[in-house]
Amino acid sequence: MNAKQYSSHLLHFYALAAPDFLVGPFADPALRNIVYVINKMPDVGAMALKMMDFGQKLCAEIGGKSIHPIVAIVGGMKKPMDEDARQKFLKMVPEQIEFTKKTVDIALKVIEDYWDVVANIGVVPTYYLGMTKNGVHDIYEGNIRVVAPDGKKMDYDVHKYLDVIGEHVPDHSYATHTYYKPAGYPDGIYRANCLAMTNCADKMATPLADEALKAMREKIGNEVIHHTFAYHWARIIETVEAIEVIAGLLEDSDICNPDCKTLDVEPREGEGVGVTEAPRGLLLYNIWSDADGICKKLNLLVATNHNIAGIEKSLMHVAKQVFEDKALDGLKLPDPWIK
Amino acid sequence: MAVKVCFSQLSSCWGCHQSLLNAHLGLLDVLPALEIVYWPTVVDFKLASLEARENGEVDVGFIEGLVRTKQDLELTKLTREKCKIIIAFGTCACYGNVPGLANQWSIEEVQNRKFMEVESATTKRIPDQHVPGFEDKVVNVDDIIKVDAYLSGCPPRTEQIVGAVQFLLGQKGFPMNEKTFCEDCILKESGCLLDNGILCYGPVTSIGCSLKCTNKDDPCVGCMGPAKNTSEKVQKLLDMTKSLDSISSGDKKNLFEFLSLFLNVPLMAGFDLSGDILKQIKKSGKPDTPLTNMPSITSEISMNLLGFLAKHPEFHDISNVCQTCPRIIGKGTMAKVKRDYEGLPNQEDCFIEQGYICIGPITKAGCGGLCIKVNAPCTGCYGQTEWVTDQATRFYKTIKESFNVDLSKEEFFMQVKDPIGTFNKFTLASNRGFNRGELK
Ligand code: SF4
Ligand code: SF4
Ligand code: SF4
Ligand code: SF4
Repeated sequence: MNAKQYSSHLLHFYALAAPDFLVGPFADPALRNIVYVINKMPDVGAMALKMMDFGQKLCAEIGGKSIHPIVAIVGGMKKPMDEDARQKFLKMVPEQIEFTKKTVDIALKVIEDYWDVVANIGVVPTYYLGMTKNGVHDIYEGNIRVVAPDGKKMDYDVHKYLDVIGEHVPDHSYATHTYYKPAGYPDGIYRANCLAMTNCADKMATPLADEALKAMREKIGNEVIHHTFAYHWARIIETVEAIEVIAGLLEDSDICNPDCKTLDVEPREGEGVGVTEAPRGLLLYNIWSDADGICKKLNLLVATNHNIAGIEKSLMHVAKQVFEDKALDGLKLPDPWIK
Repeated sequence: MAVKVCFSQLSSCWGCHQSLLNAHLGLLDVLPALEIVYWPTVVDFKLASLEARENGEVDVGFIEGLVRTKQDLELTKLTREKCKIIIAFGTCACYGNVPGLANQWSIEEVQNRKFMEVESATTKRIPDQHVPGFEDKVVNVDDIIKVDAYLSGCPPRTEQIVGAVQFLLGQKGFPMNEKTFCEDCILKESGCLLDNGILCYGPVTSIGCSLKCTNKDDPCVGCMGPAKNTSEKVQKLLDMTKSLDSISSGDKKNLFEFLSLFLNVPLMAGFDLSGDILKQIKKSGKPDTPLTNMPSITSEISMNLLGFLAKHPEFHDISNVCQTCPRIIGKGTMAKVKRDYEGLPNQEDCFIEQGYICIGPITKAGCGGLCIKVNAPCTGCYGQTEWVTDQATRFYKTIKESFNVDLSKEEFFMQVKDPIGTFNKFTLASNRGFNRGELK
């Protein structure tokens, strides 16, 4: 999961977001894309590609496929990692950590350059939804945590999700809007994924990532951060944690232990709820099974649900800023890195 | 000149696009040769810019996803209009994939569950403002437009996508010379193979090859592609293709080579430039080939050969996942159908002979056995090797013939708890005649 987190976040940062910053947000789309960035900044481009490649290859090594991995099974894994592969990836880790540090520097420079934008455009107070384990950032398991616009943190057991999350069906979209139920709709609209995760976390799980989180809080604010553009920063903080966790897991030879399915299960009629944090937000499953263990009914609340209302809310906010308040006019934009 | 490429996304997960991007450093080899005219999320061109292009202006269109909404339908048609070649990109576009399983229910039932009944919903309504509307069923892209090539897999392997792009970039096309190979043949005056009852495709094949198979008494198998004209021997060839039922094994082998070289019929590691010919035959009774502008008699001959293929699908030898699988067959026996949660299979022996269902025997090869390598049985994501509606029975027949299976048909099906999800997980929307629960 951290390998996926790593490559997915880097794909977002380098391939989808960076072109807007590096070439300039108003540049011709034919130039404002990853292909052009690679051509113009081959060193950064090659580094970015090597990082994504590491994440995806590691994911494929463990999961069989990097997209739709198939190795997980009720009670464990179908196969442990091979020792050779562990050694191979372990050798690549130091370079990846160096790359990650360089990426942090690039992200910081982008934030610095675009500070006027970060601080003024799309600062939208909402709730936030994420996952923590004992208050610490965790993408594997834990409690649902909700952060209120004023920074107040609330923890919920995942089995109680129906008390926490409501699903508003809008008339204009098939993607339903989840919201924080006690606050009602639309007041309870929340945002999810990286910035929500860092807003939820008391601290990150690993040292470098925690330093990076402290740096963001020092610059933007200690309580809860509502700056939409800070998503890029939070994404990099999670990327740092991902590579640190990967390093830790690869160093532990137990990852190759053939005793990889530890729980024996029997099918029975029942209901279960599970959550993990996917790169773009909480993945929540509620499954009802029959006596054969076959799924009869399910409710899925996925990242799209958790993000869409928040995205619409921030978009409305920014649209108003741009078109009504002409907020872009006085804005300081840097010279593009790539001309 | 750069090749103009468009990537359209219908209802899908974007995994196929991710798989292409997974080429990472390998992208540097192909991207400079491409001019991307439309690729949402990667390049910021809007749909209007695609709409504004001339019809047929774009060289290749990749379509990812299946048709669930009316918007998907419109985008499919638009992409077809604008592109010379359409590639159904990934199993969603080829066969409907997992979302196609929704075809077991009516759209009303599906909408009800999603918007009205679902436990977490607090406002209950079917969205109806500024939304495109749903199709009644999940529809395949090739139900709506002509698809030129299928690149299946969920997702297709990165190497296959890059290979397909490189193939398209490098494809020179056939020379289409005026004269046929017969003009160049040393057997023209005496010893013509056709006169001796051997199928030879010289009369429809372009002149200009250097191999000249007939120099060694081997028939011409058409590797130069069609000629603009036909030779005077063509009538003989046509007559022979009308009654193929009793042809010799040598002729069969050559017929297969001809189909592959001349009509691009076989699979190329999951990339099927001719379209998935077997699926087409199954659906419409007659195949459609990408080669147009052939002399009519050449077309007639081609159709006769493809008709033969339609009657003998076993002869169109698509390899299956088992053929790329290193597991040992013949050691164990399936005496009971085991489910995923029961124990852990060993990594050496065939899953089936350990009791686990593995769809490899009826699944098109191409992935290289990705799942098998991590100790997971194949679930069939590359699509079926053969287009029969009842995959379940076909599966049972196949494993009964080729593996140690100690279960009668009745015993076997009693123990399979989810037949549709097991045998049609990726292709239900492509298989006609399924109604809800028919397999039970
Ligand atoms: S074929 Fe698979 S990877 Fe591709 S869009 Fe469909 S579900 Fe996603
Ligand atoms: S049919 Fe074949 S053998 Fe006969 S003349 Fe033509 S190429 Fe030669
Ligand atoms: S059935 Fe599955 S495990 Fe057995 S040989 Fe075929 S692909 Fe391999
Ligand atoms: S083994 Fe089967 S399910 Fe797995 S990738 Fe290959 S075709 Fe798809």
